[in-house]
Amino acid sequence: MENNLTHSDMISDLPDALLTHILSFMNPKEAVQTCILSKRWRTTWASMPVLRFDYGKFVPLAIEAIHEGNLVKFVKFVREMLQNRESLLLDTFEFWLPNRHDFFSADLFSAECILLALKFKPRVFSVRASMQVILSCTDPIPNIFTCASLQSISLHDTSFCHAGDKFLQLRAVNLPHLKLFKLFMGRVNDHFFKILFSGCPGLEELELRFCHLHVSLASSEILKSLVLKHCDFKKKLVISTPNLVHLDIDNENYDAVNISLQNMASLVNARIQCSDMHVNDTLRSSNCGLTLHNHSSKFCMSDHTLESSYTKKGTEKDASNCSDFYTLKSLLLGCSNLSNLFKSINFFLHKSPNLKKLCLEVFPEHHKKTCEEEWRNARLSYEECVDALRKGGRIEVVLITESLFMMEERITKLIQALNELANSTRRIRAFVFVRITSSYHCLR
Amino acid sequence: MARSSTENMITLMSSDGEEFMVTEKVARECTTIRNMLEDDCVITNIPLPNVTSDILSMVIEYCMEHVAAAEKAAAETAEKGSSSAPAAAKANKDLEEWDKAFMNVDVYTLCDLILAANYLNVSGLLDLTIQTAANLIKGKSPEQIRKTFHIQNDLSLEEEEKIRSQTPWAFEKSE
Repeated sequence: MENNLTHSDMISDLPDALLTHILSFMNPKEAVQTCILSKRWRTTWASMPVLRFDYGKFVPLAIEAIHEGNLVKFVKFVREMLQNRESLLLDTFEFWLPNRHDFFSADLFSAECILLALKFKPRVFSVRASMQVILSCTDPIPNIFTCASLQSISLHDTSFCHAGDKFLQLRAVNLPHLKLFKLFMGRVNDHFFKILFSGCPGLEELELRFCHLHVSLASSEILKSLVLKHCDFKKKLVISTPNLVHLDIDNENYDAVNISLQNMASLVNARIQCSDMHVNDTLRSSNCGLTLHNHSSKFCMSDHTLESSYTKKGTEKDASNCSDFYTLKSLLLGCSNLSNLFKSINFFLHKSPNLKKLCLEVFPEHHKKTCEEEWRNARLSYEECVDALRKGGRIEVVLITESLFMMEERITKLIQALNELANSTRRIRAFVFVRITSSYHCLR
Repeated sequence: MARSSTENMITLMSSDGEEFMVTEKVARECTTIRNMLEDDCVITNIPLPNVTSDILSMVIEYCMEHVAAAEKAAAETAEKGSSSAPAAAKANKDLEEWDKAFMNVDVYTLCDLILAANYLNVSGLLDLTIQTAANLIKGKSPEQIRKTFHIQNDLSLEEEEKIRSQTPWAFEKSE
């Protein structure tokens, strides 16, 4: 027998706010089942402030395949839990359906669940569902885009491959408190960007991954962080964001990219990687373009054309007061073409007098040119580079390369040139960093 | 920068009258105390009538460990110019291990720590203790949960059956 005097039930004596906090750290199904522990626990679950419904955690781990019966049960469970909830405000609502399900019987309930959750005025909202479901929740009022309590929205389209031609169309957006918007696998156009920025006057962070962007202008006075990863850029994109601090764009998976950055006065940390490894020569020169304006203090970019803004003479004597990247301290340049690489280094050495660390990442080249030919082409810009490096302040140069390409003649030659440079002047410290070859590159 | 020798010391007094001398930096880990210090910067003696001495000493131990870890990370960053990712990852892992060992307590101490972390508003400790309590409930049958926390089942079998029949959706099994 348990001794009731020494073994008192302390957890049940915790205030409601702490008990529901504990339940919020649990799978909702397990949380609801605490209702039969004792009278104290009877309705505690009904005021949980955080609800994270994930189909993957709802079914036993042994069941890998998506079972239509289970999916309907899961969605009905979510609906019941929301319908039987006390009418208190909800902090976080997450509703994750499995990827690429074609079970339309669950879709109808799914939309109902999302609209039910919005009635509790959540602050954080994350949905993974088919675009069909997401779109049906943008139509009635109130809907996802008119729920004024929302501070963070994350939408993940699970049906990308099936209903890929559907744009995320918005009629009206009114999200006065929204700070963060994330979209995965969506398809958006200029109208979407325009209406999103105008309807969200506090939107500071925007993140789009694996999206199709039929967008030509992204312009916001408020935006502080912009992440565009694995996106397919269907149009030339102009980004104009005077308050942007953090920028991260990469385009590893698609062929062409043409991005112009304007009004980047606040940019501190930027990373732009537009590898064109599988683009043929004609596309390379015409479709991969990147223009830069204004300041930045940490910059990282790959394969771009800088000739338009780089002037060979005249910049040296008044470099200190008209440098474009005066605050720039750390820079990563990635290139497959040595000639372009040296040109980029020159450009930045002239424009950023406070540069302390320069990282160079060299990708394999799919040109048919020989090593000698390439070095001959790059010779002039290489010598200018050496010149600029000797004249400048102390700088650390790091060469990053994949182990697989270490033996390539052009890489060994580059390492040799760097070492010579480092030995001849004390201003430069050179390092070579060899990255273990990723499976991504092994495939090619 | 003030070094530890010249740093302000604060005295925290537990409900049972024991006094604990801590640096202001450690005391500031508790948002409740930080707010008091910001309202009245000359205050040096703070009575905490809701926290017993054994629980307060644990809260202080937690705060000191986390302040020390943060200071160590900051010192390494300053020394090397930038923090190396593997070293930072190891430091994080060490701290996680420490947290895990720190949470090796009985359920009474755990509940007391939850209340103290909530009252003193130490967000890291509150998350840690709440997560630990949630982990103790996860994957257990109702009877096991009751046994773990010594919860008195004041529901009759009929009442329990009634709850189950009223909320069938909560107990439905997936196929």
